[in-house]
Formats: sequence, C-alpha cells, structure tokens
Amino acid sequence: MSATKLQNMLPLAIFAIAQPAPKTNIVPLDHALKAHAVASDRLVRGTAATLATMQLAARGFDPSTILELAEMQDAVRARYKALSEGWMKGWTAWAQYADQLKGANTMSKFVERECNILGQAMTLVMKQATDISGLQENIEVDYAYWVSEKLAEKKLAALL
Amino acid sequence: MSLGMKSETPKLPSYNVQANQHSISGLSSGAFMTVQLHLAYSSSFTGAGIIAGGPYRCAESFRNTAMIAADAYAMNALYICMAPLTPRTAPNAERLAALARQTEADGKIDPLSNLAKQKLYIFTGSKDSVVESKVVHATKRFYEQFGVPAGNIKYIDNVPAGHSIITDHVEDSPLDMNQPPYINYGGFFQSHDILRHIYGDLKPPVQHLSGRFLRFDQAEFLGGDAAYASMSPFGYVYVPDAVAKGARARGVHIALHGCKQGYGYINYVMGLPDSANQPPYGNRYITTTGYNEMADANNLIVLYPQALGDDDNQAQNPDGCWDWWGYTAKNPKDPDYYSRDALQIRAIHAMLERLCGGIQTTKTQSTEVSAS
Repeated sequence: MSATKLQNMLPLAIFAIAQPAPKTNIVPLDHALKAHAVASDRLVRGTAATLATMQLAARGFDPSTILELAEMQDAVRARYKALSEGWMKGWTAWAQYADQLKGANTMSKFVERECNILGQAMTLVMKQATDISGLQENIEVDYAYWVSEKLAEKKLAALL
Repeated sequence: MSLGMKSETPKLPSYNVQANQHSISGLSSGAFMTVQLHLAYSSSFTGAGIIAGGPYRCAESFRNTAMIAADAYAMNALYICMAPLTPRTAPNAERLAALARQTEADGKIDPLSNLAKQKLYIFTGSKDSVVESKVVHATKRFYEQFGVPAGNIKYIDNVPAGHSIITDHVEDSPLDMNQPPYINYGGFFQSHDILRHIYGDLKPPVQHLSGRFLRFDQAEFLGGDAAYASMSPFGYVYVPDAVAKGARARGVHIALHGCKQGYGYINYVMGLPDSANQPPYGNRYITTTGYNEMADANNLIVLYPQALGDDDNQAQNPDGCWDWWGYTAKNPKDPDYYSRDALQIRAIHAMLERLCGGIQTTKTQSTEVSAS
C-alpha cells in the first residue's frame, strides 16, 4: 500500500475512532450480582455436599462406597484426558496456521492473518477455560448428587 | 432445494388419519422431548423412537443443585442427564418412574397404563460423548417400570456411533463423529428401523417421493406465548400423495430434530449470531434422514415441528433445543415442561390434532416446498 493511500485513509480512521460509543444497557452491577448468585449456589452446594460427606463418613465407608468413589475418580481422569487431547489438537492446528505466512503478500492479508492468529489463540484459551469450568461444575454436581443418594440409602438401611 | 412460496401465512391442513396410531421420535433434545411428549399424551401414540435421550423429568433428579429451580434443572440437564460421571450419578429410573406416577395422579399426563402396549426403539451410540450411554440405559429402565414387555423394546447400544441420527448417505459425517449437524453415515437409515419397529411390517421405502412437503405457520399453535416458546415461525409436514388425495393415513409420525438442527438455526460465535455464515444443513433433518421415503411407501404423515435458537429472547436457548428442562417456564421457581400444559408439548399436540381434523379451522392454502 502506498504512503499516499495511507495518508488519504488516515482521516477516515480518525473519524471512526472519534465516533461516540453506541448506547448500551450494560449494567456492571447486574454482572456482579449474577456472579454472586452463581458463586452462592456453588457455596451452598459445596457446603451441603461437605455436610453430607461428614455424615456419610460417620456411618463408615463400606466397600461399595469406596469402589464408587474410585470409579468417579477414574471418570474424572478420563474426562480430563479427553479434554486435554482436544486442546492439544487445537493448539497443533493453531501452530500450523501461524507458521504459514507465505500467502500474506499484501498489508491487508498480513493484518488479517495476524489478527486471525491472535483471535484463534484467544478462542482456544476461552475454550479451555470454559471446558475446565464445565468439568469442575460437572464434578461438583455429580459428587453432591452421589453423596446425597448414598446418605439417603444409608439412612433408609438404618431404618429397616 | 428450492422453496416455492405461494402464500403468506400457511395453516396446517387436516387429513383423513387413523386415530391414535401415531408415533414420535427424536434425536438428543428431540429424544428427551419425545419422552416428555410421549408420556404427556400416551393415549395418542402407539410407539416412540429415542436416539440418545434420557428418561422423563430427569432434569429434576437433584433439586439441591441450585437455589432457583430453573437453575437447578439446567445443571441437572447438563451434568446428570447428559454427562454423568458414573452410572450412580446418572438419572435414577426408579425414582423418576415414581415422579411420573405422581404426575399422573396430579392429572397432568395421560394414564401410564397406556405405555405397556407401546413399541419403543431406544438407541445410544457407543461413541456418543454428548449424551452418555448410561443415561439412555436409564431411559430403557424407566419404561420397563411401566410394564413394557421386553419384546416391545428394541434397545441398541453396540453401534460405534457418535451423537447423531444415522443415515445411508455417504456425504454425511463419519459414524463416530460428535459434531453438528449430528447426521452421520452408518450404511442404514435409523429412521426406517424406528418406523419398522413401531409399525411392524412396512413396505420398503420408495426411491422417489410422490408426496409434498408443506410449510405451515407454527405461531398459531402458541397463542400469546410465542415469545417464551423458542419455536420457529414455520414447521414442516410431509404428506404422501395418496393421503393428499384422500386416502386414509396410517398415522402421523412426529420427528423432532435435536439441538442445532432446526431450519432456522444460526451458530453463535462468542455470543453473537453468525448470520454471515449460515450452516449448510438448515433443512437436512427434514429432507435427508429417510423418514419421508418410508412414510411415502406406507401412507404415514411426518410432522416436523421446529425449535428456534435465540440467545437474547426470554427462552435463553441459543442452540435451538427442545425444552426438556424448563426454559419455557414463565415461573422459574416452578418450571412446567413435562405435562400436557407445557407450552411446546401443547403446541405440538395441537398440530397433531389439526392434522387429524381434531381442530376445525378455516382451511387456507399451505405453502408447498419442493425437495428437488
């Protein structure tokens, strides 16, 4: 791109930057409240699971309980392994893309490719964060469910 | 595919249809919805096909997951009904059967005694990583609680399929894939197996369709609740030529697509609709999954209701899934997604009644869609 063309485009770029930001309804307080609500749910769930675990422990761990816990651990390990493999595939593909600059022979193509490399990396990081968060929630919910079921079973068995 | 639009607001027509010989099937969210609708209106049906779907009201397995019921049900749906870590953290079929009995006692669903004579096709791919096989196994156990004879249940869990409906089209995704459009090539049409199991001896599917696709207005079945329904403006129905000319249809089969499979589905990228790059499979579930060829040969009508994905409407349903965990509920403290009163269930059953002439309305010209 010639220097003259760039000079001609500069006022347009300044004009674009100078535009007032569009009006939105984003309320930071809403986001904070939602984060608090989600965290509160997590805290309540975690506390209930801890209490249930203590009650279950007080009744003694039988072989089936230990076996089921081990099974859950194995499942978590397998899930994490599958996620890790997916992430690795993503990063491998990203590295291959980032390595190919040959076709970027104009300024616009070069800028597009650099932005793509950055954007793809960000997407991969976001996916990892979402996946980990999902797995963590999965473990929390499933463990809380399992321990409440086990405790209910034990209580019922004690009554019979 | 060319879409030959003729009229502005096409209405679903009525036909001469044998009563209460209807059936329903679906994949994924369509399969979960199949179970809810099947139980809600079991007197209308003779069988159901469930591909990768969980048992009735499984989203209510563990209420203590969150303080608000709707939030708890959403998490149950994700982590107990779809991705439980172990068989013990999968839905509890016996307890959900008790919940179904309570729902029946409350008068919210048809008598559960109807289930004992139903034919059920239940499938889980052994490579499915979206809805775990242990969930689908719980669906089988759930139906067994209501006296469905073993011979009436065709349960398949040994096909190395990913999360998908299987077809005989080589251009579909490889069998073990777990990605949209969730239509995988497996060398046979799963839809044919479903219909054969439900209806018994059927004539072989036709090579060339004789009938017509009709596009119809879904909004008229939603009344003033359209904003909550997460359903597309249009649904589709396939009508064999003989039925269109007055022959009595053997029944209506309702085919429910899964998430990301409705005609109006638009992928959301980082929370924004990717309207510049529409997925290429908008109508594939309707036209290529094999239902129509089998229906054509056997005078069955196939109804294809359509869910709509939207991330900023009141339903919060970006993937266009059917409601099997309560997102259409106006009251998040008490979601009602499982009964005859549930918004989507009510609407789809009203479509079924209309097809059978159960609801008299002014007939208008439907929109014909050419599948050529």
